[in-house]
Amino acid sequence: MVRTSIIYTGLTIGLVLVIVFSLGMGAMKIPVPETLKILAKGSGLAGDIVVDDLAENVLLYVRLPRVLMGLLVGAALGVSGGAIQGIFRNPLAEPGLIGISAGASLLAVLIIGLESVLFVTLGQLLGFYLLAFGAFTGAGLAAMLVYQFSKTDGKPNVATMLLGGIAINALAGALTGLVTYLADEQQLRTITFWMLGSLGGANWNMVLGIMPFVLIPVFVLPIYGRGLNLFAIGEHQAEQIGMNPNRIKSGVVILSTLAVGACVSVTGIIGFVGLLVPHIIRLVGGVDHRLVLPASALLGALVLTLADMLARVLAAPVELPIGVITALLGTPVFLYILYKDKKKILQ
Amino acid sequence: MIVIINYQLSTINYQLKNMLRVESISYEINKRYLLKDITFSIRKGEMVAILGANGAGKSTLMKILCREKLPTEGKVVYGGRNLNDYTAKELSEKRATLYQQNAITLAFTVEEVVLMGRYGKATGETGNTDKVALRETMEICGISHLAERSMLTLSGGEQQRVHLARVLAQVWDNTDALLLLDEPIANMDMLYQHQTLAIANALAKKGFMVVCVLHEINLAAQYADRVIMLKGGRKWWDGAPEEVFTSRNIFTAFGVHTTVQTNPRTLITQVTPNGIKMDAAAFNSNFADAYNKRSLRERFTSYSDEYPAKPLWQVAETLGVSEADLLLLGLGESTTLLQPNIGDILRHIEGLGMVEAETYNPHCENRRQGVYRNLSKDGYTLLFLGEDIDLRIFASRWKIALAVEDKGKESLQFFDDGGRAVHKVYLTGGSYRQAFLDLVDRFRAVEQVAPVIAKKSRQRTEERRDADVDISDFHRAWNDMQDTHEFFDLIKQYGVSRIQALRLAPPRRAMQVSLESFRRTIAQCSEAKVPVMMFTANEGCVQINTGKLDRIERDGAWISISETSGGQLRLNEDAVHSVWHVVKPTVDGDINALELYDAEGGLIVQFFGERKPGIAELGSWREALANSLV
Repeated sequence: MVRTSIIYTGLTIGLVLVIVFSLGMGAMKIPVPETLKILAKGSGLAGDIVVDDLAENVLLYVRLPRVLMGLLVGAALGVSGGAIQGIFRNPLAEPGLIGISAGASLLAVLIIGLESVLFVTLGQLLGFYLLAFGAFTGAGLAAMLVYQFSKTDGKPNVATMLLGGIAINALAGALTGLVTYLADEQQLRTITFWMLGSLGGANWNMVLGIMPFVLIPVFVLPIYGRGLNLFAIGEHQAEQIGMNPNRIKSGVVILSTLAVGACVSVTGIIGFVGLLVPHIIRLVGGVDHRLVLPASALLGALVLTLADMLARVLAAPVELPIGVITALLGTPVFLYILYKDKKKILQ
Repeated sequence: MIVIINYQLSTINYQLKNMLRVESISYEINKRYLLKDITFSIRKGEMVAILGANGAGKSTLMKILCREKLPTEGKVVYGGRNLNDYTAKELSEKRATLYQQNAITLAFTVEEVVLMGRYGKATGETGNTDKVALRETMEICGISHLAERSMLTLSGGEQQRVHLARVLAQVWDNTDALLLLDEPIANMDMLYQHQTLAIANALAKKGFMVVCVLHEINLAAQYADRVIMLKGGRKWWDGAPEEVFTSRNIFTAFGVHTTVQTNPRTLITQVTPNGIKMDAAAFNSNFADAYNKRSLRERFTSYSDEYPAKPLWQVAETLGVSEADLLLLGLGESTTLLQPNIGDILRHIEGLGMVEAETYNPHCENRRQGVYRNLSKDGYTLLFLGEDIDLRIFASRWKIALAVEDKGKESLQFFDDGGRAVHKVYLTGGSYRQAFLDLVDRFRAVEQVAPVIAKKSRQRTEERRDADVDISDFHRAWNDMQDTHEFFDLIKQYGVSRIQALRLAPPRRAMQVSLESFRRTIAQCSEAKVPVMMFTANEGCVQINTGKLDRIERDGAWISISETSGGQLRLNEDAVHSVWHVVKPTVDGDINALELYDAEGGLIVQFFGERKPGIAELGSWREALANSLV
């Protein structure tokens, strides 16, 4: 097992590198020194450096928000994945299990499909943000439904949550399928691309919009670290040591829903990150949640930014949907993990 | 004075503060009471074991004590406060619970798990106290060498020890903590079972209150100061192990028969269950085939293990073989086959000295000790006319002779061709064992091979129809009898069965009486010390036991009639179907007898007053009969 300080150092360095390179990559290449100069100027550190105007615009108004979006979304997915795995006590869990993604996509698809019919007023009000709003609401509603349904004797029950999540996933899948079936060509394309996930079109408004929803869980969920550790040896045992398992469950579900719901609303469904990133941390640094959660946030940010970089670069100038990249990269890694280190992760 | 009172008050206060009191708690769910009205209290420094059968309510009680469930009635007072009033944090500092199931699915290391016990403490970082607690608890629980191992790679028992260390670490700084252990030693090997309970006991002595639910009675007896036994949701017994653990209590609580002993030196009570024997043949009729194919020896062994007190002939009957078959199973070991030279063997029995003669039929056993004297012959019958041993032997029926050694008792046993026992001679303390060994050597069959024994059911001769019998002739013949022995020829001549003869007997020669008369007769004989002759017969032998009746004892349906000279008759009253008072004329006057018959008309036993040919019947016998006939 690698020491935590090494892990954090490695992750931070990696993150910085990825950020810098990612900012430079794309249809328009900006060399690294130029990137650094633009950043320095933009942040006010070096006010009067001369930089290329076009590069500056692209960097500051297109690339930077996109990279920041990637960081935020990646961190949110990573930390939520780790936390959900903690309360389900199962390293194969991920936020989608409690219906977040399903609810989000259902409402998003409904909006796309039935916008002209159902959401006219709302659409006029929110304009561009209708989809995001809908996805977020859908995620929240589904998670809340699953959570409430799972309560036995007033206390949320993790096993029932799982079953409820399965049910919601199935329902959402069915309705999504129905709308897809009824959609026309244009709507179909929109639906497809939404389902595959993309960081394209990211702007500062969006970044600032999701920032609270992401930053709060990213900083608060690791506080549940000790609680989730205790959770792993049993709810009753956790109670006897003085923790309140119900608060842990509620907290994790609410914060995860906020984070993932917000992300899904702006980027669509991006899979595998929440599942794999905590795994990799566990393999390298042990299963203590006090490490796994914050480190998953860092690694998630790194991975998603990297994936986005690849999405822009691999088939430039065409952008691949990021969900495709994460799935393509993630599956072999996942299989390798399963094959090699079964005992280390799962009984 | 005030100081003293203050001190006493503060002591009481201290005591109260450190007491766990359970007051009349009940737990009801779905109209069923899992616990009803349980009250007890535990002091500092006590280790209490809670025992009971499955479903008695132990787990529920434990859950209430650790506040996982709330009692539906009553309350638990801990340290002067209601258990409910504590916050989870406060409670976690004062008590720790070790559960039976502690499943872990994530790969925590042993150290991490033990440290989790300390999470309830204020500081977030692992402080020095935490490290000391970690080291010491791991050492006590014997897991120091496992510190860096992943929990998932440990065995169940090892994992449980880790959890014990965690629980101990939780209350390490507290000197008056409460330790709740729910079946803590379920998966551990012997050493760690004892070690865990020893730790618990030591902690109790140090000042903790320890409550543990245990299944192992003997471990509870050894380590606990106090035992509470639950049955059906109620508290039945509460006290020291030697008080609570009695055979009777354990049977009431668990339904198991046990032997309970207390070691006088260590004062530890030891409970040993008597074991339960079940016969696999009873489980599944599909197995019956396999069971029947088992060898006779296996069936015999398992049957006699199950019913050690059953007589051999009964075992034989149940297994569908003869008694000789069973004894022949031991041929070469405990049984030696003798040549069936009956006459010769009998001649040598006198040389054995004092032996015990036993003749029996299914409903009556006759035993007498003595020396086999005065062997003589009368037609086809061999007789022993000794004072003690008085036999009539129909030698043609004696087909198989065996020498048997059974649990140190040696005997000669004789059987008819159906393998049924006709007579047995047992060696006693006063026998000449060498003579016996010589006899066996002399008559040992050359080939020690078990003879084939035909399965024969007891013969039932067809009765002639009553109408076919010349009644008047029969009556005349009866009344013309000179001696009782002629009776046998009489019935043969007329082709009637014995009981038919009694039915057709001349007036006042054979009268049916009640079993009660029989009982009264022998009771009177026993009181008046009337000498009586008791004839027990089977197909090959009649044994006559003569003497003054001494004691008459009852054992269920069997009565034991012993006489002063040591002989004994045992009779199964349940098998007696009819009792007859039979009068046979002789040259010495009428002879009265009581004859008992079974349901098939077979003769079980006959009673006569003591007499020898040439002497009239005893007056006292006649009197006893006359007085008792009802």
